[in-house]
Amino acid sequence: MAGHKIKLQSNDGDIFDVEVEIAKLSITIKTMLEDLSMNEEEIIPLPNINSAIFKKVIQWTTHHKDDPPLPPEDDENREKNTNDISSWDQEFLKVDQGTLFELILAANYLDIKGLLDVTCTSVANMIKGKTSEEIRQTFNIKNDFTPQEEEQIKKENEWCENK
Amino acid sequence: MASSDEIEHCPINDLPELALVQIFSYLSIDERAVLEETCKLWYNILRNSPSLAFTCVIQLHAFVEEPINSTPNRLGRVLPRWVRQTRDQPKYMTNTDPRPYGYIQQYLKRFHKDVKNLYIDVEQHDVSCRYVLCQLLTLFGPEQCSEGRQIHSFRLRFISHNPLLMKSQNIIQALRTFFQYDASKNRRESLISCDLSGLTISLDDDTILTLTKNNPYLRKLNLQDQSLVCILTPFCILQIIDTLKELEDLWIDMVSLSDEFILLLVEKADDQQLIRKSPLNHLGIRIRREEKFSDEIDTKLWQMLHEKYPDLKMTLNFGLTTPLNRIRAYMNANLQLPVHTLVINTPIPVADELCLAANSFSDTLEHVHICTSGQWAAMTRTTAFNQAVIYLAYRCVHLRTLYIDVALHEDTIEEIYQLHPHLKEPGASKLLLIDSPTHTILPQDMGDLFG
Repeated sequence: MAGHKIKLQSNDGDIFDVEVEIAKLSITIKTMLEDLSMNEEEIIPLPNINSAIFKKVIQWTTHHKDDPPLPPEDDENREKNTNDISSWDQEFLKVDQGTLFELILAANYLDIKGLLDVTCTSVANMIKGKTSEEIRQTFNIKNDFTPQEEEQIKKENEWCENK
Repeated sequence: MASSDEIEHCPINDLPELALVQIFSYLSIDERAVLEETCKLWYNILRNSPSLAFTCVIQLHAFVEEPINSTPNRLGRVLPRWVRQTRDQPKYMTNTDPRPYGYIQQYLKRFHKDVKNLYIDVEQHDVSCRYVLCQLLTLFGPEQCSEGRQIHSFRLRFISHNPLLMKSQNIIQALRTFFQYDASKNRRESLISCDLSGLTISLDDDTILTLTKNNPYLRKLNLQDQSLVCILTPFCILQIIDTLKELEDLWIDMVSLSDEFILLLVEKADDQQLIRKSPLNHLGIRIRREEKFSDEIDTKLWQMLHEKYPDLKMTLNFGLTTPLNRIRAYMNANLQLPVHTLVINTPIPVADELCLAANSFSDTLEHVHICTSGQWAAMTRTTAFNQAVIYLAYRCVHLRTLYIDVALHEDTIEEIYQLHPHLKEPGASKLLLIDSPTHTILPQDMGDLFG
């Protein structure tokens, strides 16, 4: 079955020929093929993803197609470690913020756990070790607190001796 | 180029809330404090997302107050600024100051009913960190959790240098309070996994029996603390086996094992055969210098265990101070120990022992780590050792990871890779041309180890 391909269509109309095994890394596509028993000749539309992002997604899944599957256990139990981004992924994620966030959305929609993991980790790493002012600058966030509200939050989060 | 519209544009906050929650979940609780102060959207997400509290990773680092550089906030109040205490300038402060940890405390107070996994790392040399740890553990005691709690997995680790420090009665007391929460009536509230291997204090019978009595549904339990002496008694371990009907994975010291332990396990397996279930599938045993005083090993008993638990896998961990003859005794093929992980800490060359392990465990061995401390690497680095490692790789066809702290010959590494090409994959092996010891023991601490 290796090399067998299906057609996927991005929301700007481009059609991509993708190997089934690679496309199936997306649980969303896998479900469409298996549970809805879609005809493999049919073009599968992906209304939430544009061509540029979909190309990146294919690039990522192709590189990771032979990865051992993530242990099914539970997002919850797993301790998330932000240090272990492989060098290939680091290079892959050298993109502007807009692209990075679109990749998160695509990974979420297509249900590709590994890609979601690595993109979210990458954003988390941009937050780590910064003050709130530095975070606002990094992501161009407006400070919408009044000074009084800021003070209030500080108060709420002060250490409080038990009784 | 950019219009004013684009300057105002803030793509991260255009993400759906779910994606932001996902991103924030990669940060430990202490790292989330600044998020609340960033903007209202983030504040609201953090305050209204119990799912972010399901897994609480908490890092208690030592802080010192920065005396200068304090900048007044927008209302003019001068707030203290805290900086991480660096390793080379330890502070010998005796006064406790929990102020930098306020966010963690308030977060846990807000969400303590939602926490399912609690992982705490502590710089235990710092008096404030120890104090805060005790306060946080107490938050999960029976009194504070009168409306229930649902922690499934718990891990506590000490992460700062000095491994031998320990005036810790307070921490033991706080752990007991934490374990006193009675989940014996409600499976959903019981701890399932408890890892205490990162502690440098000696766990005692009372504490562990409190833990097991109140959490009878435990499946994984690691009691191999890093203190130099294990004080858990065989009686305590027997109680554990008796109480925990669903135990799958147990890590203990050989010194707290007894023949009765194996007999009890065998008996249990007989009982459980009726319901076709023998849950214990992993037994981790650490063997250290106490072995000097141990009795003969009862070969028949271990064989019986192997018969009753055909799926059991074992991890053997030989400490730095284990007498060589005892290492050999446990590697005796007649015991039929199903060892799949072997850790040898060695101040002495262990070539013969490796060959013995290769012969006895060839069918089961998957993971091997030969640890050396700085001083002894040169002694271990012999031709005989190189040959023994090759022999081990040759005999153990199921080998999946191989870590060796001592420098090897180039040809040796080449040969091992030829036998097991997958060892070249990242994380699968540590085979180097230079020594790379796991730890270094200071001369002043040696007395404690070998005394």
